[in-house]
Amino acid sequence: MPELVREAASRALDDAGLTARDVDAFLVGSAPEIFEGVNYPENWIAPALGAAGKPVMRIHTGGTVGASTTIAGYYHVVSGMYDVVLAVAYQKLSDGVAQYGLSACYDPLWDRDFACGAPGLAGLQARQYLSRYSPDVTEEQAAMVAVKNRKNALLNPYAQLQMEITVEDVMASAPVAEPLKLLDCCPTSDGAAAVVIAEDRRARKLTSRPAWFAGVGTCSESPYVPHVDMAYPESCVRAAQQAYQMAWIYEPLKELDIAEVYEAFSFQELIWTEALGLCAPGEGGRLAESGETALGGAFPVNPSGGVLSSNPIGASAMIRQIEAAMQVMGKAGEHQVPGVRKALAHSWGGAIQFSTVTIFSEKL
Amino acid sequence: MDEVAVIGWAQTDHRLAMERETHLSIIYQVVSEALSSCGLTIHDIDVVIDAGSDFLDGRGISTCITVDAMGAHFKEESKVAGDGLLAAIYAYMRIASGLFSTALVVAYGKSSESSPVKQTQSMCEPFYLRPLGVDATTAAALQARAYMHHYGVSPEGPAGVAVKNRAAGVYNPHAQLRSEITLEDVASSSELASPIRELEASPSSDGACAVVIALGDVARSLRNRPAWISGMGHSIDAYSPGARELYKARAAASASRSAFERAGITDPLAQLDLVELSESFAYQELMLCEAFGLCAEGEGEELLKSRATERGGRLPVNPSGGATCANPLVATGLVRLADACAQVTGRTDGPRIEGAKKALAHAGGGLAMQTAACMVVEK
Repeated sequence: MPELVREAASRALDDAGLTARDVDAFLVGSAPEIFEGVNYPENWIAPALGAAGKPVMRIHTGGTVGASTTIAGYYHVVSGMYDVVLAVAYQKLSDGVAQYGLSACYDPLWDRDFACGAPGLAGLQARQYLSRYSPDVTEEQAAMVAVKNRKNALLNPYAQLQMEITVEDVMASAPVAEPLKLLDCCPTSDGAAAVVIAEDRRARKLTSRPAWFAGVGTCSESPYVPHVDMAYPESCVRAAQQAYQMAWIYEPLKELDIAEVYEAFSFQELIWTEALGLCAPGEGGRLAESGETALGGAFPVNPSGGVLSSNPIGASAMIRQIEAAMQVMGKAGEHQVPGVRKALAHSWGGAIQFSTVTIFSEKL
Repeated sequence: MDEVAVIGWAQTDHRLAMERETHLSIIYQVVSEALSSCGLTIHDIDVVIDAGSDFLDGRGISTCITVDAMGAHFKEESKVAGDGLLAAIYAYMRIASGLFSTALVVAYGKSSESSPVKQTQSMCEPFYLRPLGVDATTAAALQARAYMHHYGVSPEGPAGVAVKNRAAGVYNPHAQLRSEITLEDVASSSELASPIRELEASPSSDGACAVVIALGDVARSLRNRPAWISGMGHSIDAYSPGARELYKARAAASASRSAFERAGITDPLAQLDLVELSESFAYQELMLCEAFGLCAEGEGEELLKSRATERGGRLPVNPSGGATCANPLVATGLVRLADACAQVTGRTDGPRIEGAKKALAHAGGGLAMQTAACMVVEK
């Protein structure tokens, strides 16, 4: 685990032209530590990054944790306490059983007898969404997301699943949790991510083209599934509103250039585009079908291939932010979208109850 | 930047096993009491920062269920893994950023529903340490032995800390252990892991704590006196006990150094009026006093024997009784902060340390004090 995280941390520091010595404070993010079975893993990992003798804080917010860790790093800097911070996030799902770990999130008294990992919950979400908008939203439209994102991943050297597949392939793949089929689902991944966050003047010295934090919003919601509108999660709506307000964004589809959303399951990309206000409720399917969200479309969503192409859970939300920031910095390589000025990164966690939205801008 | 203050706090009466309470009910209790202690309602809170332990709770992402009890529904909320005092530091940052006015900090631990031994064994990486069966007590015993050997500390040093803290705990209505003990009691108590004796170890506790932190403007508008936050710091030492100078609490030294620097403290023994620290085992108080610079290295025992750190001494250390009298894991350090705030503001539930104006609160973490967090609060 420390080796995996150090690999990402070193790359991030190299990219910023810094060493661990230049870092004032460290942050570690991982989803439930039960995945790897090591309690307080930051105590093992952080010293391996060169953090001994320096401040270390671990953030732990489930699926959103990668983003929450970056956001905590942002507050380390905007509070005026630290100039340069390194935030890392990781998961090594091959060290345990991912769905067993996720089932441990269910309440031991009420829910655990029915616990069946993440696909069970996401299946309910997809079913709720379909039942509300069918026939305007279809399983085929969700399948189009799976096809698009796996295709985008072909251009992303970091992606795990790089596949050329068709809607028919998705529709014919094995059922997982109805209506989710195997190709509607993300893979189980090992991976780590790291970001360097610096205060204004340091950032300008380190790079001619930083990605500035323009908007940050998070929101948590009551855990009880019957209370949560999973087809239009209010935590996501509120987190987005807050980030838009901070970034002075009124019409997200026009003012943003791309979005990286946490679509662990194909249906979720349709749901998130609606909750983020990129289209009206019930219009997510049509937006996906229109081709506008493809690479080359008017508003690419998940040009990196998204979570459907790799899901090291604790790192995935940070990877969305990194991808959004790279688009703004013009560093996204083969999947770079031309002329990106503002990019959005989204994540969800818990029982579809935690949401984060981060907006990066080329201008401060 | 405007100042930031702790304006309200509450803690449970810590117990070995709160059989009639759930995690949610103790969280709800301290959150409600902390809010009413400063005359705010949950609607006045901008952000909630919490601390909990999945391994202790026996579930993944324990905040999934605690959102409601913490009052975080539809709020900005984040969870820090580690002691609640670290969560308080993050809450401070949120407010210092200028984007939030008020923050609620919540920490809880219910050891009775778990196995603290397994909880700490699982802190060991699986390759070298875990096969040895190292847990918090055996790691601490190695450290106590190294410390006592290096500086020639006598068994009466740690035992004296236990006696002093238990005597102080009698006055703390929230403490779990509220009876005095003698050096003979400690010496005749069973040996947990040499040289640590049963009465030198903190008890297993259930408990919770909540603290409300606010921007200066908010703090000044309230009726109750706030405790101003003037310094904070946190730090980590190397992971493997073999790679550390085990006889020194280096993380605590570095965390307190940052906190003192921010608070403008150059002579802690003279400038502080009290210290609340998290000594999971009695010997740790001696090491921590040295790490904080209250005395020279290796002179913790002399400081104790000079009676300076007793309730009526020059610089009372753990006038609440400290972790020796109640150790609700994850909440322990936040309880230290609440106790320190109560003393410097005079808003105490028990007797007051006369004239206390400036206090240091400390939280520890990891095996053999690998990590530390510190905060200085003043009148």
